[in-house]
Amino acid sequence: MTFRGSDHPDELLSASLSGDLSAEELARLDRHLAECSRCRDELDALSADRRALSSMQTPRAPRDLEARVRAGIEQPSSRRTWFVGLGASVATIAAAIAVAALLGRLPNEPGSSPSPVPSGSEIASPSIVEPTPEPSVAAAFLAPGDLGYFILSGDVGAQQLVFHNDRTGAEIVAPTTSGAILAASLSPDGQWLAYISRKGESGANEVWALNLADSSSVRLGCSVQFPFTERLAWSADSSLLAYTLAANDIGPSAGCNEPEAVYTTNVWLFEADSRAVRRLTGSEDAYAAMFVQDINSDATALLVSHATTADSSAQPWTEMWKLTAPAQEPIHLWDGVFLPLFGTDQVESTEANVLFFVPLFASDATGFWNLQGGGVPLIGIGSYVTNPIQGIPAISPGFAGSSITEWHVSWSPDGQQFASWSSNSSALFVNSPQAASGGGPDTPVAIDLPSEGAWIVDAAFSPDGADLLVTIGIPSAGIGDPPSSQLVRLALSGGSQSVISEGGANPPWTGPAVFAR
Amino acid sequence: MTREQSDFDRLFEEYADAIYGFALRLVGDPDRAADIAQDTFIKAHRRLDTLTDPGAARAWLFRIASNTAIDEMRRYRWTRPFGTDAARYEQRPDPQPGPEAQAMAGTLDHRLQVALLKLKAQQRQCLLLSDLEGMAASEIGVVMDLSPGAVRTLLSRSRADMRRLLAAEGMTR
Repeated sequence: MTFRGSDHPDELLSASLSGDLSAEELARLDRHLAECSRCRDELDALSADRRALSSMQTPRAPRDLEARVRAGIEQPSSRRTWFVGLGASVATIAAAIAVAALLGRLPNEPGSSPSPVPSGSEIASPSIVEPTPEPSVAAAFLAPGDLGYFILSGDVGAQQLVFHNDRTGAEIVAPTTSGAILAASLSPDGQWLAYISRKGESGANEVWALNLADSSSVRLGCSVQFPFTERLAWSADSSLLAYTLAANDIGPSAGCNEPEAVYTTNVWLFEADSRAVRRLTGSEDAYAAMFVQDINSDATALLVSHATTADSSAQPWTEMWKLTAPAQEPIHLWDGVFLPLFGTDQVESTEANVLFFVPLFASDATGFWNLQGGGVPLIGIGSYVTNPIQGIPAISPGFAGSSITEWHVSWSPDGQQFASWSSNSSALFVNSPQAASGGGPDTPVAIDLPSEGAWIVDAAFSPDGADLLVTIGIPSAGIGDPPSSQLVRLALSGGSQSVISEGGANPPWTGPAVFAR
Repeated sequence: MTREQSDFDRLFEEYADAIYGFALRLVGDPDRAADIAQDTFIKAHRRLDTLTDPGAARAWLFRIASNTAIDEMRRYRWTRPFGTDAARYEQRPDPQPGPEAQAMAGTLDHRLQVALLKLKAQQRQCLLLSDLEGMAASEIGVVMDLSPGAVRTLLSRSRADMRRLLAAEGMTR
């Protein structure tokens, strides 16, 4: 047995110290040692190290340990120590509770309310669309495992947008948008569907939240189409949605905010209980990454990344906002890390899979990078508990040669796979963190495209991770015609593909899709 | 006294020092180690009915201790994102002022501890279970939820990294 291509059986040497060799392995090692002075020396050195470790002082346990244990047995501690967060779905939270129960601890109850709004933040008046005249839909529009997706139908000027349950055929009418739906995210409790729609051909996006219980909607803001802003992040308890708006110059006449310095970005929050919308940051270079749970105080915290568009010497960085009262300064976490996106299901492992962007053109995470400079992103898979994130840099396939700003990623529910795609191409890649850390497969997922020039809009994993629901954009038929799309279900094993939806009448836009968990 | 209580008492008496020592070498801090040991035995008491094979008690208990320690280390680092474990260990205020603590500083023990803390947590765990506790790869696998093959590979890498760290500490043979 060799180790990492070496001619020397380092693993056998190590295993021999604790008597873990079979007779055959021992014989093989003895034969090698008879001829290899390097390994003899190595074995001596390892043996000495082991002797040194084994002879370390073994201090006695504190005298009061027994009393402390007895006190703890008689009166269980109320200290909460479990780290759940990471954008966990209801199912993931349930799994975490099961694991925690196994180890005698309980995490936070799902649905706990966040603390009040920190002072000094801007409150914007939401635009609330009243429920439609139809009777209220049932509270659970999507049952666990149900697939839902958008369908935009009708002629320009007379369009209707609905959210459709694939199993039951039930539909909720959503505020009509004039363009494609680019992103959708279901709150973990299944009550709210947040989505981003293009505002016709204006070059702006709108962010919405649709309540699936009473079909009311809240308009969350208007944004210039800008890299990394077409993402939506829910907190684990469904109380908060974080999103990024890039200031626009379209102005209030188009239903957008007052003009600001264009291409500045800030993080906004939607509070589901109060239906309030507020801006969290004011730095004009902030992007919402994802929610995590602050394990010391059980408060919901948001990872926010910063990346400048102007100063080419400034590297990106990530901070954590503890969303509690009294208002606290965000905690500076990691330099050189942009948009950390953890996989789900990180309950027990200290080695959390995390995707993030770092500059390529530096050998470590201290190089220069800005959005206008572009470049090629790296994906890091590694431990989040050290600082900075000790990622194993991996050039994910297809990333090389294309702009960092075009790329999107999404995790499977179990965190064992991630899909990545460019908004300007038809290439779609699926990787496991382990594979990606070694460079990953070079071949994109085989997908039948409905037409030339089609591009990947969105890819969502099914709850079991076996399928991808892919929204494929189809170029418009001609000048003045908006694009259309197709929603397909792609089996990752075997590659079979079926068309789920081709939308309604012109323009037939359908997707993205979400699964209730 | 119930039979369960006497079983637990025996468990505590036999393993309290080992669990505390393991935790101490893992985190390098006596107070945190005491917390980990306390939580380990409290959990063990609650889950005593899951220990069906008395012969597996050591692996069972160390598994609880490992998971408790991981949880504690994660929590500790999350609130103190800057600095390494080794740096914090070297900069820590003297926890037990007195001749014992003075004698510890600069000794082989101290330098081994610094090197240990520079390893990744998983490597540190594996090495301590093997060399401090004398566990075989199969037992370590039960504690860390790894296959024996994975333990073997992890141990080999841990020893190699430890070798380099000790050499950097000036502790070559």
